[in-house]
Amino acid sequence: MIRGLYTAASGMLSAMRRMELVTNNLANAQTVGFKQDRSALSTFDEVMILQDGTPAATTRNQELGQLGMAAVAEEPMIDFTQGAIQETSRDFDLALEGPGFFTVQTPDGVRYTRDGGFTRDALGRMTTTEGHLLLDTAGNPITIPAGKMQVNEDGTVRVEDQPIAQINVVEFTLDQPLRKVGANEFAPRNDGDQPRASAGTAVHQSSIEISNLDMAGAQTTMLELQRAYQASQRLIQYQDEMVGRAVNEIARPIG
Amino acid sequence: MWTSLRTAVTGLMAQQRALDISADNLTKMQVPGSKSQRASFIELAPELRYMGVPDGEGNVDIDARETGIGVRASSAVRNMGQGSFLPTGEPTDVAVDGDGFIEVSMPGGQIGYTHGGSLRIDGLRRVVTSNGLAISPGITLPDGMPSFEIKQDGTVVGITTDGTRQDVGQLRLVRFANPEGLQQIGQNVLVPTVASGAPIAGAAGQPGVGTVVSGIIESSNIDPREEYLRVVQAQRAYELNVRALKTVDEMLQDASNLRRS
Repeated sequence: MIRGLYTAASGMLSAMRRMELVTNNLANAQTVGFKQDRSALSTFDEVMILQDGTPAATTRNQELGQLGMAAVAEEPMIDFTQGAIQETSRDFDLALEGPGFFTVQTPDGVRYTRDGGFTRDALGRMTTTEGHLLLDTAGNPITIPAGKMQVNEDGTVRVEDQPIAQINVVEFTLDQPLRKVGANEFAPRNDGDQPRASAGTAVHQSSIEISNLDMAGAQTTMLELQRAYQASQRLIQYQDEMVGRAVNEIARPIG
Repeated sequence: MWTSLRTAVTGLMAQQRALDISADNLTKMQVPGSKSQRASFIELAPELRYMGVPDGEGNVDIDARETGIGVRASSAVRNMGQGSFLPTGEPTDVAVDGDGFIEVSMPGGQIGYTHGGSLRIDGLRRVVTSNGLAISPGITLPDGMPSFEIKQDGTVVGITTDGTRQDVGQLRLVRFANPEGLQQIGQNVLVPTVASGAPIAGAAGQPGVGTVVSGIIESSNIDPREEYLRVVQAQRAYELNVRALKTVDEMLQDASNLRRS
């Protein structure tokens, strides 16, 4: 009986934990290049429930079956679905269409991002809004000289019609999982994983890729989590009541 | 558990910032030469949560799991793109067709930069911008020269009462490695910052500087439709975060009501 109390409590905990993930997705509803997290639940290993021998039983420790003891939120998975591409009329806004990432140099090493709202530093090099340098296919920063800048779909940067660099657009395979590191950037979960050039990704100038948050989905999940949380809460109350009755009423003398 | 509340609040603050910036754009829409800005958002680095998870062999491990903790607004991104040119017919209205800036001197001697405007002659017969800032280096019209005009290369030509023309000076044009990094101080005047880099001397006609056009005012590049779209998006995102905040609050209330009296 008390076992159920813990199972219900774990239901509340995992709902709250999944709620953290949904609120983070919602907070980033307008973040350029944001990829939403998806969560899943798994159960703790089920345990065999045994019934202790009753006085009349011929066998002791009779098996009653499996019982799940707790629910636990799984490691979130990043949903890399393409976000919608929105035009901005700003030359330094670049959007990726396809599975690729921009390569940027950060103080912590090379990172990958789909936030193409670039700007420049005082030396005219293209950077993210966080000041991380955008890299070309040779691994060098891209300095924009004076003049009109154009970026072709294949990532070639031209100034006054002269090609000056090729933006490095790379992709990872499914068995090279990524993690979020802040600043709208990703890093491979396993340090050794190296990306490869992404041929199937187009670069669109004067556009940004908006957050891929599924607003309707997030709201449904939020409702669902709230109900699950309430249900678990009620379960705890019922079991509390049952234990209360057992304590107070079973041994009550008749009279 | 409190993380969700904090996360939803970061979302609210970010959307508030987006609305502020759009409001600022809308008020500047009619100011010649003004440039649109937009908020840029940065997802915060995830925090680690330690929790018990099954290890697959019937035991429980303490494992660190990454949890997203919201968003913050980074510096606003300015669009330095050219606004459309409105013909005025006034030979003293100038705009730079390109990324160049005209040097002006501000009260106190500091140098500022403008992308154009209506020039006029002040009481000291100096050529000044519409808000009274003298062109740098200073250009003074001699007596008997009531009007002037500007040529494509920035030459200022004085016109005497009998119609004779005479060169009296030249507008100094500069460019910046990162014009988006310039800081706007007052109407239509920008000053260099660490982000913009120092001014680079240029001449009219050079790539990245452009030419001086007269008889024209550059309108702002703020597009009311784009701003409207941003306001609607920010408003929706704000509402969503309010809903998240309310939901989490209700869940916490359920938690505190666990023990019924």
